[in-house]
Amino acid sequence: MTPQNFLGDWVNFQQNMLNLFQESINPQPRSEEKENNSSGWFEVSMKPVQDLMQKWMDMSSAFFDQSMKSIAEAYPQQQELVNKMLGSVNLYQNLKSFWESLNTAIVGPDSDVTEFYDKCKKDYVQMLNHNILPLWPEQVQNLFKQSMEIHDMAEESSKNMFRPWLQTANELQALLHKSIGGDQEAYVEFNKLWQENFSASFGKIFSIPQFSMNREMMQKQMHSINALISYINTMNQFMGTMVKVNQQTLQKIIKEYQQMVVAGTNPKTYKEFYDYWWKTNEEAYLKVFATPEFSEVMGKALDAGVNFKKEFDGLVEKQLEFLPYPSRNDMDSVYKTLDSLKREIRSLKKEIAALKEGKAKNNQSKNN
Amino acid sequence: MVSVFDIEKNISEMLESQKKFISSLDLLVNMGDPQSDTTAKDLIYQEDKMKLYHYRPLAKKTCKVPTLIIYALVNRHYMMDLQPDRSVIKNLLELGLDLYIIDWGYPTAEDKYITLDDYIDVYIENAVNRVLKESGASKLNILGVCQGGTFSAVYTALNPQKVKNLITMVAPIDFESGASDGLLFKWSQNLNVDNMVDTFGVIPGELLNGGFDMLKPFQLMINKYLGIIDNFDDPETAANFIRMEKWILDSPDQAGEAYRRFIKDFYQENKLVKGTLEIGGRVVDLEDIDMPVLNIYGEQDHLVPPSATIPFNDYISSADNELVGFPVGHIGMYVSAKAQKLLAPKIAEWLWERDK
Repeated sequence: MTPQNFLGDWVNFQQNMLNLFQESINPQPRSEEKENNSSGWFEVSMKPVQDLMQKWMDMSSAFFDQSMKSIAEAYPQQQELVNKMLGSVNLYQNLKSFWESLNTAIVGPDSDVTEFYDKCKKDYVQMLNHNILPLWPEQVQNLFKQSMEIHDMAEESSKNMFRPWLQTANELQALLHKSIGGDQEAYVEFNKLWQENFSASFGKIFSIPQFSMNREMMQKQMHSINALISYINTMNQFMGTMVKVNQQTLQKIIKEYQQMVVAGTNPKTYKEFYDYWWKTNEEAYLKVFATPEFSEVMGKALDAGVNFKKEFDGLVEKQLEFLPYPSRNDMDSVYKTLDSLKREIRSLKKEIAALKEGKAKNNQSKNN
Repeated sequence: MVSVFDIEKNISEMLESQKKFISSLDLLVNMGDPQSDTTAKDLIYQEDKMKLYHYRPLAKKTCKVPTLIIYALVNRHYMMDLQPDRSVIKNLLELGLDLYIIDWGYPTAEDKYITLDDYIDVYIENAVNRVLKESGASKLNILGVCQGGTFSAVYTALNPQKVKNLITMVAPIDFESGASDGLLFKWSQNLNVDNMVDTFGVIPGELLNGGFDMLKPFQLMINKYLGIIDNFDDPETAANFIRMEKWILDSPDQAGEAYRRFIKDFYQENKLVKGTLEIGGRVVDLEDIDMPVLNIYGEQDHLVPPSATIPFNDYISSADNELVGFPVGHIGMYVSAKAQKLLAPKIAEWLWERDK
């Protein structure tokens, strides 16, 4: 755009402004408004004014934007100044958008504004970066940028740590309540979820590479603790499954026994009752043992136990390495060598036997 | 008010139990150590921890073809000779079989690198060769029991020229079918055997025993011991209980590498019946088993369910093959009075008919 065009736009704007002003002084009601003016006459009468105000605002805004762009293009040496001016306007407009969105998000006392807050926070930082930051001296800008980066990193890092717990907090709480009430299934699920959260958050701390002279020992300690926590939790799941069967069977036995007493068919001696008790229990356990879920939980419990043993063995070996005894790892090396030697001897023996056999046959054929 | 109990009977039973309890204690104190594995035999070959024994004959006339018994790695072979009055071995000897048996021994830490290939291609192969040399026969019969039956099937498929007749007893063959009703087969699917072997080196027998006990938790962990009180009024019954208890808890550790492959290739991948199992670089094809086969299973076997044993006959090419079920469980096959009357006579008769 040239300065001449700018003047043309200016004239057009003045014309439009004049028209709007005239309309605001002498509004011409529309036909439907005339018919429906029996109630809410004030709102109806104010509507043209509101519309006009809105148009005025839109027009001003459009004009301002256009003007600023034209100035920027006409006077490139003032680019920086124009940018700052434009940034200021954007800031003002963004705040208005925020205010409108806030009104939309809050629709009542129970409105969940978490998502809105997160979005605003992000927008706010973006707004600072785009609108405020350019107004500051370059050195201050860099300092601010770096501070913001550190803040973002710290926030993201702590979010990663707590996210699994925050996301499942309600579920965990509900399961815990049920567990306290004696629901074994909930107890198993609680442990399972706890373990998942732990592994995805604090559990990672135990896997952090260690430093300094005692690095290896510290690392082994951390791994052992982590494996123990995992083992205890997995065993809780396993035992929860077992206790659940126990409780259900106990309920069944009590109910059945009550029915038998009423019918007069109950066991008449303790021995008879014992037989009834163990058979009912065993049947219930075997039914659960045959499920894929039990197989999975049993496999996990065993694996967690093995993991703990592996980590703890490593730690004990490390702690005792200064003693004048060979460790299991040392012995394994010897066993491996022995195994290789045994195989070699076996193979050589076979070769010797074959050679002897061949030689004997040769001798025999010579003699013949 | 009418009591829900039979008070008189109840008190009588309790008093009787108390008497039995006291007498059982008295009996235990004076019992000594009841022996198993007492049938006379001679050590004829040893390699590492494996020992090969030759039983002394008990019949005037014995089969021409020697029979080698291959037992499982997870328990001890003397289950076949647990008590003098109920010994499958003794019965078979009296019925004229020429018997040899492999004793796998107790693997220790140094045996962690022993592989499944070693068991089949080295230990069994060398034992077979030794039996043939000792007996002067060109072929032998193999009686494979439990896991030893699986090994026997594998060995026979790889070396059919050396085996005249094959008998498998409570031997798991189709591990996928077994998973339909066998708990061990189901649980093995979720076993991280790599982690176990890498951690333990040799797998502790006690660990496996824990799994076996869980197959019948109340019977094996509680009921069995309560039953002592009722059954310990007879010294011989008490001695047999102690023998059985000793055997059940006498579980050797398992050589890690062999255990790893057994769980993976057999339990988890069912390679034997799929025809994808490789031993010593050779593919094991069950169709190569073409000699007479007798497949014996326990109808109430909870360790190796019939669903895992019965299909064996469908995978072999032997025209002369027979499937026999006895109304007993896994352990009852060796010690129950019912099986004692039926098992050894059946095996002996079947082998005699083919001893030409």
